[in-house]
Amino acid sequence: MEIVLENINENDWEFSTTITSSDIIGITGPEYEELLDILSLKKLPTGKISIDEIEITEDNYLEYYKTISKVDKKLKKLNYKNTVKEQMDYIISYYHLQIKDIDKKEKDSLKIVGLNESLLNRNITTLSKSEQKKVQIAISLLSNPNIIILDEPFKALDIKSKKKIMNVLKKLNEQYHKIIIIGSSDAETLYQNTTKMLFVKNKRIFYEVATEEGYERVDYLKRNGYDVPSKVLFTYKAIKRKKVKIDYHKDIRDMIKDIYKHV
Amino acid sequence: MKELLEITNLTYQDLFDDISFQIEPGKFVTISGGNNCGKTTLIRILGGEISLLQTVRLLGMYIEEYPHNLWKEITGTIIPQDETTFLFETVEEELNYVIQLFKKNAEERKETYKDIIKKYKLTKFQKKNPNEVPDFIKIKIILAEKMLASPQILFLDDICAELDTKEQKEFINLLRTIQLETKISIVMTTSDLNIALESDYLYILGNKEIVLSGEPLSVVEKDNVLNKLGLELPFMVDLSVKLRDYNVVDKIELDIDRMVDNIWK
Repeated sequence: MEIVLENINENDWEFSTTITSSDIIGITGPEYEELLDILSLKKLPTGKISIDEIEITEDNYLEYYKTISKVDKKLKKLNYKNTVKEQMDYIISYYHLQIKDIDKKEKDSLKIVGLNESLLNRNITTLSKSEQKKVQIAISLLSNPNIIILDEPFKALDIKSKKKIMNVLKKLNEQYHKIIIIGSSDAETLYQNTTKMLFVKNKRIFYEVATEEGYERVDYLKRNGYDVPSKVLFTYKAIKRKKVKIDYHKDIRDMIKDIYKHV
Repeated sequence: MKELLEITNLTYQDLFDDISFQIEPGKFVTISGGNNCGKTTLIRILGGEISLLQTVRLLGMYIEEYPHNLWKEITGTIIPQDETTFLFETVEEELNYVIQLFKKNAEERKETYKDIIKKYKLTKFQKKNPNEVPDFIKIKIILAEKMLASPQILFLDDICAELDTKEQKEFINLLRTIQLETKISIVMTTSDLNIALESDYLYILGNKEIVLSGEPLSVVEKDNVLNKLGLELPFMVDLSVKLRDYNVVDKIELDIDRMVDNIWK
């Protein structure tokens, strides 16, 4: 899948970029949430947008709008929709989703994110924060979206849940060629889980780069006010201050071996 | 010193089995644990929303012995998951309403308002609708209002999970400032051990009990226990314990520069 955005001009944002399913995309920087909103096509922005070479116009917009799911920072309780099932039913009818066996679809969505189907009848307010996050992701999957945009998907999740969710997203990306976009203020999360980064600043895409390559430009990022993962910062300082010939590693075990060799 | 808050034989549903612990006056205590270990429920119990008899004692008196209103004043509970609806149209009106409940003198009210705006960094938001400001600003308004009642202790539920990294730093600094000024105790749950490192004392919940407790640095180095509970070690802690296994370093070092100097002298 490929989205080509040309000369987009919306809410003071101006940019052009191409987003494909060959990467897991990370977005960070001041007001990155606004860019996530624009990309979720809640309304058609000024400029030219094509999805798989078909231009999005007023005529076909609604058809594409449904194929994009956004997972917000927090689960918003819909009016009078108290249980997980009621909330899911509401989304299905609101977007006129064509689903044969609704019950099965809802249960399956919960299962995918690692939740028990008994949660369907729980009131949303009684769910823990991590359960709410997973329910949000389960809801976003109901429409079989082609594009999934997630805002801080890993906050408050422990390692086990984080890995589970990341594996679901990776599978959707690698096997089903879905576009996955993760917005976050947490450099460690983005470095660990994405393959391409959009660093934003002053309502522009400031720096578009492969994740590892981008984060290894420590001075450049720091000068421009971005956080650098401590993993990268450590290696950077070892190389720069001690002239040690170690490499950057995402896996801490590889890092330890490399350090051990160079002590 | 005498304990401020005592929790004795806390047993609740299938979450807690006979948990006891104490909080000293003036301490910043964090409580962490994996998903669904009962962090939020514990805060609901301490705040008095879930009432358990003969379990929670403040200054030697059980929670049920306090008039409900008094408990709400001498303890301040914030659970961001529960939506708050502010009554007033602007942050200024909202704060001034609560200020006049606690300050009699007009001059004093004015000073208090000015202090709050400055300390909580709310200048830009005074004329904004408190129901429409960013979550971090809402949390700061709620905290400022709770503090006006001069509580003895704050119960905060995983506030940092709502904040980005810059806001987290500002919030921890704000808590430290408040604590310096008022000697208040703070109990805060967190799903992030990086935050726990900022506190004076850390409890780890798991398997219905307190599995670890102590000064944060001594707790976070128990990597095996924490990993089993699904808790992620802060990178510098993880690096330290692993390098210690290889005899490259001999202690936990949180500062990157010092760590680099320790390894390559």
